[in-house]
Amino acid sequence: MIVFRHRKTGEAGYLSHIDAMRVLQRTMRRMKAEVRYSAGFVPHMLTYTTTPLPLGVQSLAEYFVADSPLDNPEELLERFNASAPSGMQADFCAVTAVNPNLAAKVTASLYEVNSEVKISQEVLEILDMQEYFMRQLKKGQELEVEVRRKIFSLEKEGNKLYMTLATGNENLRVDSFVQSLSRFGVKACAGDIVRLEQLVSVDGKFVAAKEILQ
Amino acid sequence: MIDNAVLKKILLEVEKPARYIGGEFNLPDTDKPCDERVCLCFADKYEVGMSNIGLRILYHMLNDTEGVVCERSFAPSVDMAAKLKEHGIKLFSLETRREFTEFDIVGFSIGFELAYTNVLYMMDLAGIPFYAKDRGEDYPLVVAGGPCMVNPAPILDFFDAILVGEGEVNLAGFVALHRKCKAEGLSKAEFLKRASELEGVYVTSVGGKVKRAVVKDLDKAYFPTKILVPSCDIVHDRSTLELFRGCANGCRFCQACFYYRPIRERKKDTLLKQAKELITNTGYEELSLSSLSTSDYSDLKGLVDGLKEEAEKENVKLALPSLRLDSFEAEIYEDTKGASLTFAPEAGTQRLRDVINKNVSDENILSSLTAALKHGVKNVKLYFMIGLPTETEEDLKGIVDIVKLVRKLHAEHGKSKIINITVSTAVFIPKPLTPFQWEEQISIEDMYAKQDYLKRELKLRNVKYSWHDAKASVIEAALARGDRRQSAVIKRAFETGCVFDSWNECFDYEKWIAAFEYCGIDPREYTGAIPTDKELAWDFIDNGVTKQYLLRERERAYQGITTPNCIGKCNGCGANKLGRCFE
Repeated sequence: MIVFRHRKTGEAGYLSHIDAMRVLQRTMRRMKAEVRYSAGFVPHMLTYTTTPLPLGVQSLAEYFVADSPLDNPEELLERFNASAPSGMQADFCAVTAVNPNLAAKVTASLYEVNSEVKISQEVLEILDMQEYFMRQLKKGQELEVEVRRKIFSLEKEGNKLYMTLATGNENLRVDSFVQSLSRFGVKACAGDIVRLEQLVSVDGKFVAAKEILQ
Repeated sequence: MIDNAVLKKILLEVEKPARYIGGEFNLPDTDKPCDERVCLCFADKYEVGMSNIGLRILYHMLNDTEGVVCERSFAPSVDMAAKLKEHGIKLFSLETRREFTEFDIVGFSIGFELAYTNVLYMMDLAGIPFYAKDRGEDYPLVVAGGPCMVNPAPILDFFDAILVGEGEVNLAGFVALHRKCKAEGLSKAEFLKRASELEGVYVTSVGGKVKRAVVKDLDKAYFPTKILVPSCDIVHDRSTLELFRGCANGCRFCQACFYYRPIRERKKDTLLKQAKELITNTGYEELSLSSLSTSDYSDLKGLVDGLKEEAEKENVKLALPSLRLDSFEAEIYEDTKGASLTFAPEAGTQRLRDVINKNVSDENILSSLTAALKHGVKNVKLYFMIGLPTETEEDLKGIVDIVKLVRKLHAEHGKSKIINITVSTAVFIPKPLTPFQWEEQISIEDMYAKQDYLKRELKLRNVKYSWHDAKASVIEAALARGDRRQSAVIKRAFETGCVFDSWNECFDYEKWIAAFEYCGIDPREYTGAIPTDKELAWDFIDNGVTKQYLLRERERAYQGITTPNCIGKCNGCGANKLGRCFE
């Protein structure tokens, strides 16, 4: 298996998950990477990713896994970047013996939010709350949901807010959460959010997903 | 330049933002030093325009020219257009997000009459006046090209110049001359006067006659293999090889057949080299072969064999469109592992097929379908036209008979368990530069009656019938043979809300009729029969094929005499004066 950590920035932030997958699979074809295909009537490339980002959210740490016997990470990284669009360049490549199943292992993400105004102390006080309710779309219906347990950390630095939120099975949609912060004066849309890293829990601590691949 | 902060917010509020962001793989260097900026516009949505092979060729050709940068702009969806207006943002190019006024030349590719209002829609969003006479030195040169230039009369007044024929010749010449004139400090008017002498360039303010520009040697002509790979899904999301231009069959209703003549092929080795490069450079999963009649390529079997080898190695699927019924080759079909087959008999009876010169016999249909079904075809798509000259009830019944024949043949020879038959009918539209350019279009009532008959008769198991919108066909016919008075109609139609007319859900017949009425013009003037001695609105264009030839073909049509495919022997249509057929 080969695993790439790539960014999804600039124009690429506006690509849907399906479009981004197609771009990545074509990148594998352009770099002439040997990737296994499914054995069905319509064979498809065996590739895997983690939880999709909401449209517009940028990322410096998307993970893309391809079922491939190739084993030279340095060379693969170079070939990937020569074949990927500028908004989806990779900064890390690892080779693993088995599928790392990152979709199941990633349980949180670290985000940066660039607000138009300074972040107030009130935002950080969410961490002191027992419950935090926000509006969220679920199956086409807007519902009031309690999400406090999905907020792991909040820090501020001027207009920037850094947050660690649940990702994966217990996902907290980052754009909806940021929208809910408008009650505290945060002025930002999906395009102002960057996923800095995807995190896995090791011995009760969050570490970057790439750490478990090395 | 556009305010990116505002754009960032807008993009989150519209459907498919990927249409407006650019950034595709293989993007040329648009920041290189240049003295000429061209914006190529396509008067439809991104996913339609990006599938257009002509636009693809010209875009890369200009960007591969030293000192020239070419960018793209497509018609934004109505939701995006509303947002642009709301925020006071003008329509921009995808690459550097420049407004149209920052370009030297803005070129529209127009492939369909129902896209005319979209040209005005884009001009309006870009903040440039519609009429060429209202655009002074502060505005770019606005030109048009594409298949609709066979009769550009209805849209002439909107453009400074019309590029008739193939862009590799006329657009390249137009851009080169403009660079020279710009360096000499010439005014727009002075440049246009000089441009009117270029091959395939008609300058509206100068007038006169124009001869269509053609690439003389297609094999050596520019063809890009490092093409843009869109990040979002587009209509034809695949690599395309262009086998040849022109068509030797001479179906009498078909404009493309006569417009793209003379017939010029690319050599097999050239195509194989291009295919290899396309596969490597794009990563596309599918490679298609493009031409008006792929079956007529001189060494199709050899080409497919060569492509198959490369495709299998790279996990690429080969797609073979435009297979003509009479030359269906089961072997090729089997090799390409297709599960469906598309045939276009166009008419239901041998008599009417002879009238329209669709050189396909009942025996051809029988043997081809039998072979296809024996090879496991389970989806058959059949295309027909209704309202063709001399059509009778018997001809309509013939359509139903062919469908029943497919079902019978499947029962006798079919390898697959079930057969799905899709029947589609288009309404005949008399188009310029065809032997039927003088014919009348049937009335809208007749169109409905014929469609209703087929709807009734084709209510059969596993048969799906679809038909083209009758009302849209009427407007398309009126515009196709339109004259200069129609620019006012098009403007009025746009102003009253007509855009994306080629999209069924957007087309509004009543608004079009009201626009004609408002301008005091009866659309039936254009859809009725035209006397053969009457001067035609497109007579100022020498498209190669002569009027005498078209009249002769029309005569033969009424006599039910077919004209053979011209591969073996030249039929003397006149196109070879533009360049040699069959290099």
